[in-house]
Amino acid sequence: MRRLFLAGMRAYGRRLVLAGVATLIGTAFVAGTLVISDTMRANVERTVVGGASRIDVVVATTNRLTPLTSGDLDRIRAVDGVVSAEGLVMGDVVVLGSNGRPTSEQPVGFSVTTRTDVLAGHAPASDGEVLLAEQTSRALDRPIGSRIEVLDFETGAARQFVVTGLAGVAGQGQLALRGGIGMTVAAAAVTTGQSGFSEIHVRGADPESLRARVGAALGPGPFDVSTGRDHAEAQAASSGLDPAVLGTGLVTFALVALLVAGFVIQNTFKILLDRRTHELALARCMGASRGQVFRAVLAESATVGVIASLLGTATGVAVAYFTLPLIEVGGAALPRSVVTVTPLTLLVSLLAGVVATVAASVGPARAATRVSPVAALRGISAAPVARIASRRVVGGVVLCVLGLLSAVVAVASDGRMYPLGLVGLGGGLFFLGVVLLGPVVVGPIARIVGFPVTRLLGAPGRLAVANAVRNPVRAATTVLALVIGITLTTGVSVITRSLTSSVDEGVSRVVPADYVISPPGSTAASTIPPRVFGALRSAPEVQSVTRVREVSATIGDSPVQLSTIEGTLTPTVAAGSTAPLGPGEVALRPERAAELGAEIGDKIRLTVDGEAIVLTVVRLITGEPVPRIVIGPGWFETLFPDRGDSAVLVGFSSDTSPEQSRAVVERATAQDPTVRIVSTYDVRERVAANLGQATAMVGALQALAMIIALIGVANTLTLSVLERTRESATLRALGMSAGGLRTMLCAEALVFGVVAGLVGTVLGTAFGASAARVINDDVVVDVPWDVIAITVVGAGVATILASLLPSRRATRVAVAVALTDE
Amino acid sequence: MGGRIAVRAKHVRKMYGAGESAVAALRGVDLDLHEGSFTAIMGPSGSGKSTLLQCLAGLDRVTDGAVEVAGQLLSDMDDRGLTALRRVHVGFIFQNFNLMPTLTAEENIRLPAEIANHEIDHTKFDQVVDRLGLRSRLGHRPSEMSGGQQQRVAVARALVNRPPIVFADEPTGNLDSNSRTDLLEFLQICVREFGQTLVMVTHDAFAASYAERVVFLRDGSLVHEQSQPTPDEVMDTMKKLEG
Ligand SMILES: Nc1ncnc2c1ncn2[C@@H]1O[C@H](COP(=O)(O)OP(=O)(O)O)[C@@H](O)[C@H]1O
Ligand SMILES: [Mg+2]
Repeated sequence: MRRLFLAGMRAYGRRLVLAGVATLIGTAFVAGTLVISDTMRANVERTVVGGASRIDVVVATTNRLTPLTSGDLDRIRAVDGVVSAEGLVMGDVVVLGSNGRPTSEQPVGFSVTTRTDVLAGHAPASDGEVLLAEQTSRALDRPIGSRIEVLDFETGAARQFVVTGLAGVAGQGQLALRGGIGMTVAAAAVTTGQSGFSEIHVRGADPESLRARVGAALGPGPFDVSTGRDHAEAQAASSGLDPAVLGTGLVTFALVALLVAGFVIQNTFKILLDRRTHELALARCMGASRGQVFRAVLAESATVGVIASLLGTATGVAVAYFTLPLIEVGGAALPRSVVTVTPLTLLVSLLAGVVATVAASVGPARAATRVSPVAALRGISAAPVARIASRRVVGGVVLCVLGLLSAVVAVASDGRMYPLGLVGLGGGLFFLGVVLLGPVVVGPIARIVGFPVTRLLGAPGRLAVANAVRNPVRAATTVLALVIGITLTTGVSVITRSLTSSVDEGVSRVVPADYVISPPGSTAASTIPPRVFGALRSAPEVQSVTRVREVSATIGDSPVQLSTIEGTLTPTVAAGSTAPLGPGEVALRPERAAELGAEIGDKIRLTVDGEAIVLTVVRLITGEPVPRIVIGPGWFETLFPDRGDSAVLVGFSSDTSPEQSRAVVERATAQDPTVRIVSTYDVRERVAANLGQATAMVGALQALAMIIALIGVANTLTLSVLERTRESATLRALGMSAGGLRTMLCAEALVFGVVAGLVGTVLGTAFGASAARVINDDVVVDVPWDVIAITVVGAGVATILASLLPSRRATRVAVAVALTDE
Repeated sequence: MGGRIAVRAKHVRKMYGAGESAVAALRGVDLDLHEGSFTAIMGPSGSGKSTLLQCLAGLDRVTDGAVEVAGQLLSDMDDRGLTALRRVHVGFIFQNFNLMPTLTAEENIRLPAEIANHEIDHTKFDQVVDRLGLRSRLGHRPSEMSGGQQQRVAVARALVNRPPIVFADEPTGNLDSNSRTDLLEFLQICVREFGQTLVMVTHDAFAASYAERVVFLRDGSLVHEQSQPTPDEVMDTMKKLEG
């Protein structure tokens, strides 16, 4: 049998190349994704180690809001073993662009400490110098030596700084996500408006014992004392995409790619073995046992698997090695030195490739052992098409029904019992059902899809449709490989599109305005001057304008806001009187009323600036943007005459463009450039961009699965063309032109593509919509028809491309072949 | 035999391969076939019969010399021209029938017309189908028919468009003796009734005896020719050639 195997490799080796390519791509994908996730993990470790090497102990407050004081700093400095301790001032700053308005990207303002990783230049030596995070310097176009303006938090006046250095912020939480501007403690305090420190960075010996001593020195209180290493780890985790999640996602796609490759390989072996029925039967006639035939086939697939996996692993590692440094992670490009290739990666991807290839060939190999020796005596032309067992049909139907049921249960379960997993399981079961039913349904579907093809193309079209479904098992396998990619593409785009639409709708519901203007600082003391409200109210383009004013108060021990709302947007009255609120009267949101245990008619007592105010609850109110404790605007004015606005909401009619409306808002705030302007356009755009990135990435990965599947189409066609050499020649002898032959193969490929497109989009839409529903109950299921149309057309076009090579081969067949005996 | 020339071969030479392994399959063949004639090409295995047929039918290019079909020089034609020629002037009958396995008998018969975008003449279709006794088989696929039936479908496919010239390569090679006789009689009728020119390659003396003219090939050259021979006369000639 070694002879037979070697002869097979010699004779059919070239035919196995395409199957090998499928394995190669799948394996390359596995290797590449493993390298990527290892590298991401290594990169996190690198930043963690880097951070930990610069600080030994970090002190913060447990709620992260109450700042640490210079008293705390002094106490820490006095601790035995502390070499140095520095307070970190950190907060929002307003950086002005060259037009004098706040820039749209706002870096975080922070004071430079030993933690700061100076990459170029030097740390600020005076209050007039700053250090920019690398990405901030690039985004704002402010290199070392240039000037930059930051607003003074108190006065709102612009302060000039000189950029003296660049800092690395990879893996440093907010700084990594938003970029940063590093200053002296004094400058940071003035620009951020922060009175204390958000962290204190301590250097000293042995982090563990130092941590204990610092903790003891601070005594009881809301202090959170951690080692530099723990702190760096926590920060790295909040610096963007979690490498563990990313890794799992990538590996999932790698497995999908291998699955598709498996389909392609299975089909290749099936077709090749069909062609070799005669040869195998001859071997059986001459005494070869079933086991020997089986082993000969497996040996072939193992050979293909090993060669393809070796090449694939090498390709995957090489691609990862050269492309990873182009990717920005946590605000900085990955240095090539971090790219991590472990022996485990190599082993896993090699094994995955070999196992997938061999496993995919087991079915065809078993079928090959069933060739009866008698087949050697018959001609080869009538290779029997396997009958479809009724067990298969029953199994397929059962699996499809189970799949549907679990998806329905998941959607109906209202978020109990792991619904997302259930939808996934349902999708998986249904897909398995489709795999079993494929050979039964592919014929009828292809004939329906093929009807226009037949009408349009005449003889080539008719022959193409007939050829496509001539061997239903083969057709189904070819189509299914494509279906996987298309299902995933549509599924993911249905999910992301639905979530985007839902966010859009959610944003409009929560913020019933196009612009929200808020005070420059985060302290309760900072407000918007009333002239902004006034200017907007008199602007003709503005359709609605509403302001909220607030003062800090306490009820018992707990801090609350006492508010009033004035303007176009009015609260919805849920219960109680609808008359305007008079002095001493208050309206509550129901949840606040419940917290206070207050009902209509009850009195509540607040303290503002040490003075008690007693209020009578007269109504419950809901709606957005309605604060929780609301008194009448007139009385608020009497009580707090100088109080500015905490928020101004502006709405424009739908025929005002975003540019026009922004101009109006900017004019109204010209005297107060420090105020923050957030437009819901921006929010929507950002959400769309975020989801868009995810979609693009997933799309790129799925494109790979599609490519493998297309190789499968090319493969099936190539082998079919070989099988039908005599038929092609006969058609030519009967007067079909070379172009007609090409059209025929194109049409055959197109039938595969369109059938896969239909099945894939139906599956993807159904299960994508279910998944979107269980991810978020109030999701607006939005089917992206454009994406679906592109996918179906794309699948069609791509399959036509896949048919080009096989059809060239078909037209090169000499017409005289029609006359040959075999 | 008078009439115009349907197919003409002049000094046709055909080489397969190149260099040392080159095989000369035809070594200068001259042959004129008149319109409405029934010619058999005989010869031992490997003598170049199939090669000659392929060259005459324009399925393959000659190495040297010229072939004219229906007054057109084949060497002047490109693939497009040859395709057009096949659509209008030429029909084929193959030893292995070469029916499309996915099509029914009727679809197979109509295929050449469909490929050429011609309408099939109903009376001609009915005439051929009835003559060949295929009426009850029209809905069957090749796998559901016997060899004789399949070959009759193939003959119907070659004849239904009434191409002026029909080429057949060992059409009886895969048939039992009853089917063989039926087929040969039918082919003879075609020539007589429809005036078609028929060229048939065979190594079967009985089949050759149906032809008006038998030409004999040996080692790529025409070596002998007989007019309306009996099977025995053909057999004798063959014995001499092989001996
Ligand atoms: N495609 C080919 N390539 C090489 N040699 C060929 C080819 N076809 C035929 N021959 C050779 O040409 C000669 C004539 O073959 P052929 O015409 O098939 O003979 P016949 O049909 O009389 O048996 C033989 O020696 C054969 O081996
Ligand atoms: Mg021959």
